[in-house]
Amino acid sequence: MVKITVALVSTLKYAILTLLLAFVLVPLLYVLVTSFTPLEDIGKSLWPERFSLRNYQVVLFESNFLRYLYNTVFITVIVTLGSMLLDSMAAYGFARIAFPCREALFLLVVAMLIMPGEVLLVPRYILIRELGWIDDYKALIIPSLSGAFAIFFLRQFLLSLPKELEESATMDGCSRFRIFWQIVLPLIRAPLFTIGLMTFFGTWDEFLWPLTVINSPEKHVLQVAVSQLDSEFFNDIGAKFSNVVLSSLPVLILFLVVQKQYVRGITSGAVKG
Amino acid sequence: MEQTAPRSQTVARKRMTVNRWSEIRDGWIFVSPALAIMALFVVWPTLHLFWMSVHEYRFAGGVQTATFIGLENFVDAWEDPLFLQTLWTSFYFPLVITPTQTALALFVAVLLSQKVRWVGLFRTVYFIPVVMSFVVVGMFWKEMLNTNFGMVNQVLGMIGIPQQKFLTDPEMARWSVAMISIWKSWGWYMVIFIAALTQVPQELYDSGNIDGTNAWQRFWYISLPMIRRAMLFVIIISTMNCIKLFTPIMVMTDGGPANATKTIVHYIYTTAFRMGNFGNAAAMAIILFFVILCISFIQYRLLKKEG
Repeated sequence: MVKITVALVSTLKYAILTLLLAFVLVPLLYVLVTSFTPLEDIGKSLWPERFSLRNYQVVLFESNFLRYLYNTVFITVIVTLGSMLLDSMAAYGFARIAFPCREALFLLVVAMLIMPGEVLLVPRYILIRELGWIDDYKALIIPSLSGAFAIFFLRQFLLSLPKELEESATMDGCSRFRIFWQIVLPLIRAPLFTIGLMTFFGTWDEFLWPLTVINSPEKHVLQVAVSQLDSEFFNDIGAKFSNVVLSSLPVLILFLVVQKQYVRGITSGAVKG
Repeated sequence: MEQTAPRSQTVARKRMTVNRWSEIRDGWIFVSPALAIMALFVVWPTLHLFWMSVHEYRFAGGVQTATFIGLENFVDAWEDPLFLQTLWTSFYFPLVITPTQTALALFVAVLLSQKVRWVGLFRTVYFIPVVMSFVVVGMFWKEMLNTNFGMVNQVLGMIGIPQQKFLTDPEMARWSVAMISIWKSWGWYMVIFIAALTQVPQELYDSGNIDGTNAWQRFWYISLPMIRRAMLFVIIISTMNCIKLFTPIMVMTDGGPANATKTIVHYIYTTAFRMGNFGNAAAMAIILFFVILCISFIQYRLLKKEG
C-alpha cells in the first residue's frame, strides 16, 4: 500500500513538472516553428508541411534588424563595462578610504535604491532635453553608468575582506590607483562579474527609457524595434516571429553559458539578506 | 610575524597622517564619478519632479510653459476618474499576479528540491521566459492570443471551444496580461525559493522524520518558517514589479480595450508624452511614489518583525 502511494505521488510529481514544461515550451516551440514556416502556410495547421528560411531572410537582409542588434550590443557593452568600473571605484572609496561626509553620502546612495525609474521618467526626460541629448545615445549610456545597488553590493563584499593585502601594498609604496587596479579588482572579480551580468541583462531589456528618449527609427534599440513590429510587418507573422527568435537568441545563449553565476546573482540578495 | 604586524601598523598609521590630504583627495576621486551621475540623474530629477508637480508645465510645439498653480495637479488627478481607474488597475495586477505566482513558484521549488531526475533540465526550461525580454514575450503572446488568427483560439477551436476575445474584451484582457506576466516571471521567483530551500539544514527534516511527521507537516512547520525571509523578499519584489507594470501593457494592449489594462505608469507615460501635460504627469508620479513608499514601509515593518 505504501509502495503504491509512493509510486503514485512520484508519478503525479513528474506529471505536474512535465505539464509545466509544456506550459513553458509549447508557446516557444510554436514561435520557433512558425518562424520557419512559409508565409502562405501560417495558420493553416499547427505543424507546417514545408519549412522555409524566407522569414529569416526578410528580417536579416530586408529590415533594419542587424542595425538594431548592433545598437543594442554597443550600448549594453558600454554601459556594462562603464558601470562595472564606476561602481567598483565608488564601492572601494566607500569601503576603504576615509574622507569627510563619507557616511552621509553612502546613506544617500542607499536612499536612491527606493526611487523607481518609472517615477523619475518625466523629470529625467526634461533634463535630457535640456542637455540636448534627445535622440542621442548619451541619454541611454550616461545615466546608467552608476547603480546604487551595485555600489551597495560591492561595498558589502569589500567590507567582508581583510585589509592586510592592501595595507602591505601601501607600505610598499603602491599608489591607491594601482592598489585598486591590481589588488582590489582581482579580489572582487566574482561579485563584480555578477553585477556585470545583472547590468548586461538589465540594459538589454531596457524598454521604457529608450522608447522615451530615442526618436529616429535607425537609432532604435532592439526592444523598441520589437515593440513596433506591427507597424513594420503588419500581418507578416512569420517575419515577426523570426524577429522575436533572433532578438532573444543572444541573451538565451549568454544565459546558458553563465547560468550558474546569473542564478547566484539573483539569489544572493534574497537568501543571505 | 608577531613582531612585524604591530610595527607595520604604526608605520601605516604614520603614513596615513602624512597622507591625510591625499587620502581625502583619493576618496573623492574614487566616489565622485558615480556620485556625480547619481546627483545629476537621480537627485536632481527627484527635486525637479516635486517642482514640476506644483506647476502647470506643458510642452507643445517646441514651446515650454511653466506657471505655478499650487496643488492643482494633485486635485486634477483625484478628480480624474481615469486616474483613479488606473490606480485601481495598478493594484489589481499585484493582487492577482503576486499570490498566484508566489504559490506556483513555491510549489514547483518544493517539488524540485526533492529527489527529482532531470532537475537541471526542468529548472533551466522554467527559467527561459525570465531571460527573454518582456517586449519579446508580449509581442509573440499578442500574436498567439489574436482573436481570429491566434494559435490559442485555433487550438481551442479544435476541441470545440468558441473563439475567446483574449485581448479585445476588457475583463479578458486584464486576465491575459496577468497570465502572460506570470508565464514570464514565475521562474525567477522559483529560483529564489530553490536557493532558500537548499539553505534549510537537513537535520531539521531528519528530526522531523523521527517524530513521524508527514510531508505536508514538514513543509508547513519546517520549510515554510525557515524560508520566510525569501518569501517576504519575493512578495515585495513581485508587488513592486506589478504595481509598475508597463511593458506588456504597452506592447500587447496599449492600455486598452476601453482603458481596462491602463496602469498608472502607462497613464503617466501617455499624459506626458502623448498629451504634453508634464505637470499632471509629475503629480501622478509623486502619488505613485508615495503608494510605493507606503507599501515598502509596511513590508519593511513585517520584515523587521521577523528579524
